[in-house]
Amino acid sequence: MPQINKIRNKIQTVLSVSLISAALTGCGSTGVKQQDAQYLYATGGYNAVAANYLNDKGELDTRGSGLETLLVSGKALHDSGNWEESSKAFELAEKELAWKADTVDTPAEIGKLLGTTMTNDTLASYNGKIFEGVMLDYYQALNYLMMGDESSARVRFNRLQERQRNAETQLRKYTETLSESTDDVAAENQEQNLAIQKARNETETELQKGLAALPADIKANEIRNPAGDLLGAVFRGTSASRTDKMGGVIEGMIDSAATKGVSSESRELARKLETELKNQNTNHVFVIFEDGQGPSIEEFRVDLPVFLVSQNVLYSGIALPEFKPGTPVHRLVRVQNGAASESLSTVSDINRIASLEFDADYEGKVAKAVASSVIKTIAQGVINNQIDNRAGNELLGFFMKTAVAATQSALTKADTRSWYNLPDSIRFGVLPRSSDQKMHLTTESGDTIALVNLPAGNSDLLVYARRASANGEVKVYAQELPAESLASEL
Amino acid sequence: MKRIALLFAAAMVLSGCGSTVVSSNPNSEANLGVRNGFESFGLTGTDFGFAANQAVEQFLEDPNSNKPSGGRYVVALDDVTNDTTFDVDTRDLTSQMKRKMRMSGRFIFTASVGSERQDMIGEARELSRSRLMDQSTVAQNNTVIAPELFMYGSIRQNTNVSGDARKQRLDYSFDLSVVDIDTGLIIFESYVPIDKTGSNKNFAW
Repeated sequence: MPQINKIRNKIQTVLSVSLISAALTGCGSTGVKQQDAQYLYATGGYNAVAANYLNDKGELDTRGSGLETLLVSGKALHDSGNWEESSKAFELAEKELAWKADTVDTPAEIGKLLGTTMTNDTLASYNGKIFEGVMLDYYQALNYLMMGDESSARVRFNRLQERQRNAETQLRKYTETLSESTDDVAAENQEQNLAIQKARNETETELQKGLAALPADIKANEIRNPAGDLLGAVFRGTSASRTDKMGGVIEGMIDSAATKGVSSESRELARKLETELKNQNTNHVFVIFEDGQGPSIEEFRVDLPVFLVSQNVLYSGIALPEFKPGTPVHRLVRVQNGAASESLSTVSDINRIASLEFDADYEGKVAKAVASSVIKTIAQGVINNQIDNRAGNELLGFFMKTAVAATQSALTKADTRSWYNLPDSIRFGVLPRSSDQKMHLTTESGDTIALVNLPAGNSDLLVYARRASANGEVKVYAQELPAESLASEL
Repeated sequence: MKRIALLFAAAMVLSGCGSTVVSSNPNSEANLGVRNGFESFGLTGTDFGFAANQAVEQFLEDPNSNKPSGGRYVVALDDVTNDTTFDVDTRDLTSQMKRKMRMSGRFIFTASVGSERQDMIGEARELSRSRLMDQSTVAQNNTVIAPELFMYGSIRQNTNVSGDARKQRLDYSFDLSVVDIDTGLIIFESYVPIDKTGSNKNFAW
């Protein structure tokens, strides 16, 4: 009888560990949702994607959702032209993206850093990225502009400017903080430090895989979104408020886009826009085209050589994030209205904006992941030695060791959370508004992307188009400027 | 671990201090000595009250605010823009200003044009076609008084961060100008600053 109880207890232990393992595997997983949404975008269903975040009454329903879902839902609703519900989602997201200085100086932050070192980042709530704050304010400004609410749009453009100014400083502090927290982990004891160093030496090439697809020659100031500066200048240049034109704010925004643009074409466009905004005699069509699907983050695993730590372990892997560049649809987009025709300039490359932050914190994440794995693998070795001494049954011992390894495997996860439904790039153009209402968007070879009828009128006009995938639909919206009523879908 | 403990202790101290916002508005609750008085980075009712008082005082101090021919200026309120990072209803400022200016006896505001234009003024005259109305009680044409001045302005905000990035200061300015419609000249202006200083931990909005 005592022998049966002993075996029963051990089986319960195995089951408990397995259940914990299974439960942990589910924590923080976003892969399925991400793939689903990307599939829906690929098949062109803007409204289908947006419907996931609305209740039967067509109102925002993201109860209990974390920041990642709020950002994704905000953009999905924005893409489908549901500006009001999108703004509500972003309003909720904004509350969680208010952090600015990013220094470790609250008890909660210290606890979180320690906690996630021993488990994984996905078990902590998602804090968002610096550039995501920038993009959030950009889309909020656009939402209110499309709703015809200039006053609220101005507030969001101002927030965007403040975020843009702060972003570079914040990025630097973020990197420093990660580096310091990694030092704290590595300093626990000499034996661990040695094992960590060996592990790094043995696997360094594999560990750098996450950076392989990063764009080259990224500069810190590229964390700004030049499309936000240009759209802000258009807003102020065309708004109903005369004070928007005072104080050199427009020139400041244009200068920023002109000096920090990603390419010579975008810098030239900024200067052209400056000239056009000063030209009060001509009314314009300002065209924004959002192309493709933006970057995402995937997980890859690297097995550390087990001999570095202990022979008596079954799993010693680490999980790291890998930057996956976005997918562009069109290499070039031309726009024609009446006799005027021009190619749109790529003013914001979301891959570059997002990769900058990824690059900055990657080394910290690698160091943390290796340190965490070594510590957990040492613990696994200790537990397995105890199992060998106490199990008394080879098969049962194997099951228990497997459960321990499974637990470690489940706890080993890379944080792949990101705002994955941003576009690959944002393109911009300006041309005189023709009395011919037809507007033609074409590819480089002249194939039609969209042929729409612009609303009748002769004021300034904003045309906003989105194409997420080659086979998917193209959404085109138009807003008269100054924006005083709801934008129309063309 | 010692380093973490030190960080923790420092965090406790900082988190206790970091939430305080200090305002330059002399009428703020804290500056008036109200225990646990409320203050925030955003503009409060006390700020609008202070700004309205100051702006009107500056107007009234200007000799141009006296109509040379005597009587009251007819003023149209034009665009007063909220150019901050907060959702602010500028009527919180302008309604107080209008009241104080009217009470001075030098100004009266029109609702026939400008940002406070009331369609009812025109609609009431369309009643002259109604057989239901006593025509002797219907408002006549050519009776609405045109404005002589219009007032416009903005509430602006600049954010400055201290060198050590621990503090941020929001510099608000309430800028208002009054224009003579006949001449196009700005005949008087007001400028009221309010600064708010506090932690740089989060964006102020």
